[in-house]
Amino acid sequence: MAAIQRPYQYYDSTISICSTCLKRVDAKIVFQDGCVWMLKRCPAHGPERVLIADDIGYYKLARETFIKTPEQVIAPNTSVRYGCPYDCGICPDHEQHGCTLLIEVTDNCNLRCPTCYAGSGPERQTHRSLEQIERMLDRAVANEGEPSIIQISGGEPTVHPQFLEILKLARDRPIGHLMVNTNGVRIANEPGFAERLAEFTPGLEIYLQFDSFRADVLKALRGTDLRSTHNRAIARLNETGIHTTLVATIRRGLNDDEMGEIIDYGTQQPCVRGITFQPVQAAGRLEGYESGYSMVRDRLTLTEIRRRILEQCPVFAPEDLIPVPCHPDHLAMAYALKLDSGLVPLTGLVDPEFLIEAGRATITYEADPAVREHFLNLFSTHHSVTSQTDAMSDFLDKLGRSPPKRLGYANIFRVLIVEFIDAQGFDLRCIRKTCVHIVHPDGKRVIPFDTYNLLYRDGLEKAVLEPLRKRDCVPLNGPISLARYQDPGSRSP
Amino acid sequence: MNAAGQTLASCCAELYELPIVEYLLGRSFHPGGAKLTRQLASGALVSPNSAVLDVACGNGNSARLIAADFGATVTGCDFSAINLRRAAATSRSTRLDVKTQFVRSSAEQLPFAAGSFDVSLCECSLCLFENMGNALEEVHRVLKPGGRIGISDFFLDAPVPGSLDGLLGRVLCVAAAESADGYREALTRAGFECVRIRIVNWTLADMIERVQHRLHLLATVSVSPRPVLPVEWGDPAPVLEDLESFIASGGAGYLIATARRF
Repeated sequence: MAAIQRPYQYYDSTISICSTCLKRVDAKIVFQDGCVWMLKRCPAHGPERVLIADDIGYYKLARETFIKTPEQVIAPNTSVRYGCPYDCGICPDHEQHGCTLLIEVTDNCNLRCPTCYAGSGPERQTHRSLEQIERMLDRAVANEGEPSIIQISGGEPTVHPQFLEILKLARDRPIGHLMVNTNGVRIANEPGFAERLAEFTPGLEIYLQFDSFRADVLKALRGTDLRSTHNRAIARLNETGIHTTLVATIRRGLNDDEMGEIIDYGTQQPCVRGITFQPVQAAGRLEGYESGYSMVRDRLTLTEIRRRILEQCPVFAPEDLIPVPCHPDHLAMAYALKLDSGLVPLTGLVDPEFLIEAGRATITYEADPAVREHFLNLFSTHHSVTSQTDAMSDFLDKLGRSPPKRLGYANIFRVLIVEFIDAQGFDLRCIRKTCVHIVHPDGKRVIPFDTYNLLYRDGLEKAVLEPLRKRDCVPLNGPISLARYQDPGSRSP
Repeated sequence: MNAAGQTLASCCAELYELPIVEYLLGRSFHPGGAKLTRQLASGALVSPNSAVLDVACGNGNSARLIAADFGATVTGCDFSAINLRRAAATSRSTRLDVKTQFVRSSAEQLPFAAGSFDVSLCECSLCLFENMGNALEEVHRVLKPGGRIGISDFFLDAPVPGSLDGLLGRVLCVAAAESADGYREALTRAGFECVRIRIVNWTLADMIERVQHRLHLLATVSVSPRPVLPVEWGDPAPVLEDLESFIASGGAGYLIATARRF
């Protein structure tokens, strides 16, 4: 008799959470029809089948090749009691330090976007005090020593009445890069504001919300047509020369066809150093979806975004847009040289080994001097054209076979995809590797962005997390990974 | 299609039906095997939603691999009726017949409407076609706007040594290969843009090693059923050695090319 076969290839088991009640549940990772799926079952809410990736080869590349030894925070903030993800954080079982730490300085916002993971808006009036913000900044420094990137966020951080003082507080601390996560409204509307920001450069970058060129899309995502705001904000940032990353929130079927155009636009703006694409995380406020957010209809994964970028922006080939080793399943990046003749991809020319072994600042490789030098050395004249792959000769062709004299940091352009983890695709293995963290307003804890928005933000901790801890947890009473490992042959009594 | 083209296409296709060829080259008739097929399909942006045309699909191995690993729907076309029957039977037995179908056709006259496919792959066969330009134009026609072509093939950057100009050299596609720039120009002439070429010479080293190993087995142990080495091929060993040194000298190599239909 012929063996009865599963319709899928079994790859892994993991722990997830139920997308209805957020309780920890058992899950499998399987490959079927060219896609990676998570199968899981909640005793109360039944089985779920969730798309994790639509590219098995890339998924395996991220998991099996782009792995590096985890880098830890200086000291964890919480102890392990209930088990992941109910002990954030950072707990002793987290497997990556924070590459980017967000400090949310206000709940207030001058927009009310139908989609907002933070649930911010004009109706929310709470600004954090300077003392509280200092405690949060000090927490970031205590955890990281010298945080690579601190992102001042919100709400809309620029509406904080003491916004510039906050920047001074941050500048007075040992922080690698300071970013301001803004919708650009104040930069666009207030004469002289960009100039005030420019006083904090170098060292300050703008992380500018920029989702679309279409009025209907902006209305759906942001509640208002921001096109002229974008134009004015970009004009001011170009004038003042403040380094800017455009951040596009991507919603399936709405603006997932505009990514190539956004990259093209970015390459034409002197201030723009890169683009970050983020699919909507199913968390916080999710309004404006016909009959509600639908996992099947609306959810978008990293590999789908990556494929669309490759389709829409043919300058990039698959080997140019690769996993970021610190958090490989959920971050992908491409580096390119931004030249007058257009973008020339760099990542595909670099041996992945080099990137995996590279320095600490992993999301922003270019901030690492060794990596920057390596990128710039790629086009030094000692590369003979015949000894290189065709990619290299393309590359040298575009450079006119002689490197421009003043090529430098300003020529490096970055495309990043950041997929925050939602309850649907929640995989404990990945959650432990997250490296974008939010400093809790209590100034005592630093919590992964992903779990913060699902379990810890505002009232969620009391309303959602506490009952889960009480009802559904067998206390673990200690970390899996001890601070100092004993002799592998022995067990502690 | 002209008479000469037909003769060549059927002659080559018949060559690939010989048991000795499968014995020597393995089930995947091209260098790089499944690994290169996956790289080629990724480079051509094959997705679970893609309709893929595999030109000169042989026994359908790559078509099934792409259907299984990428979730795509694959149509294979080939000139050899025997290959196609085998391809269809294997697809049925591996339950991939829902995702794959096979059609007898020459590459220079594809029986499909314009704009039928998202991706077309052409593995190690382009240089065998009588008229590569015609084949590329046909592929261009049946692709949707924005669709991708992926080619893997030998390239030739120096005159072929006389010893490689025979039948075995022909099986290994060397003698008829284009230069790397020739592929780029041919793709551009056929209307493709964003041509990208990658040199993948590791595939040849692997393949030559395999053929040498198989020939060694054939000579030293009893292989059953024993495939017949055609007399007119002569002794293949020196040909393989010549091929190795020709590749090492940079005279020939293997590449994959991807491009987009404008």
